[in-house]
Amino acid sequence: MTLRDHLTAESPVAVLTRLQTALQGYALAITADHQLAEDTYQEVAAVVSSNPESVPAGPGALPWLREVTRRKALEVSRRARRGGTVLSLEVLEELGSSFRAREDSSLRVEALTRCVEELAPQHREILHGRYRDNLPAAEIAARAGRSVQGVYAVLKRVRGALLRCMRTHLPPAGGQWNEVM
Amino acid sequence: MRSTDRLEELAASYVLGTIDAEEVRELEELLAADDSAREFFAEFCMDEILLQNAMTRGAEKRLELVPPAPRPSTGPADSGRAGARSAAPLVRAAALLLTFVTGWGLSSVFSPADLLRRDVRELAPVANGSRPSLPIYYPPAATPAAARPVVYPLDFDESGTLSTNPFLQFQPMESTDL
Repeated sequence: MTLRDHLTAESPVAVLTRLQTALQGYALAITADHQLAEDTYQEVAAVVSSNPESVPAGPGALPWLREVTRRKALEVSRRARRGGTVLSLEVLEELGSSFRAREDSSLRVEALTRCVEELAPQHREILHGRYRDNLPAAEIAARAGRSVQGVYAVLKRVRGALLRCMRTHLPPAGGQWNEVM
Repeated sequence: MRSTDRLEELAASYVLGTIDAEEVRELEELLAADDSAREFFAEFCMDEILLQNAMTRGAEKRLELVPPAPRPSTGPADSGRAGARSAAPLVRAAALLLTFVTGWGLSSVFSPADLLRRDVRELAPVANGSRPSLPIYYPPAATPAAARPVVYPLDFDESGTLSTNPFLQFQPMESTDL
């Protein structure tokens, strides 16, 4: 590695932050639980901060961090529920390479934030209960005066509406994701 | 229903935790089938994370002064984690109360001042079955000078018996002078 490479190299913590969505998304795919996914990311961050020199520089960082995430997510899942993961280990391992860095994550968050503000108050309340306050569905349903199934239906519908809204707010550079949808 | 619509439906059920065993098998088949399904599912999961981040960021931007609603204790149908989190303050409060009550109880039984007084009484001689005639020593710092007991000098009578002489008018000495 040249001096120039050293000077321009991203620190392990910066790499971890840049890849947060990909790593936490992979953890979510493995654990099927937002809270467990967050716990997993925190454990990966602890590994990186305790031993930063072990993180490979350059393009090797993502596969390395993905593997650490996979192992930590499996550990977290085993601790949290006796049955382990919902999806088979083979499928989860194959899924890994699909989780890559997104260059426009901050733009997406900005767009999503604006779209959430545009939602009807009762829908926003349900969304807050689910994503911000991490409440169980039964509690969200009780607050909203709906059935649990009704809450799930609203969450699915609102999520779809949000993603459509986000597409309209994103610049054309986000085309690859739009094509997938 | 198109396969992408079905995949989205299954992915939503998966992250919401409402997916059943049959749907899990269906999702696994779709994910194993081709790269585009895996890409779609990965994007879906990453969008879930973004959505959560957006909700948190939205909350921060509004600078809400009202704290979020307390986490309720969950029933058996819900995950135990939320219940454990909601019970934590209660457990901490109970532990604090128990510590306080135990500490207070122990200090009332084993107070150092109590132990000191008890030792002095036990060491003092018992005359005629009554309690000690010797004064009890109190540390000067803990007791005002006016309340401190005094000790009169002793004298011997003709038979050599130790007794106090009422005719000798010595100035009393403070116990601290001994």
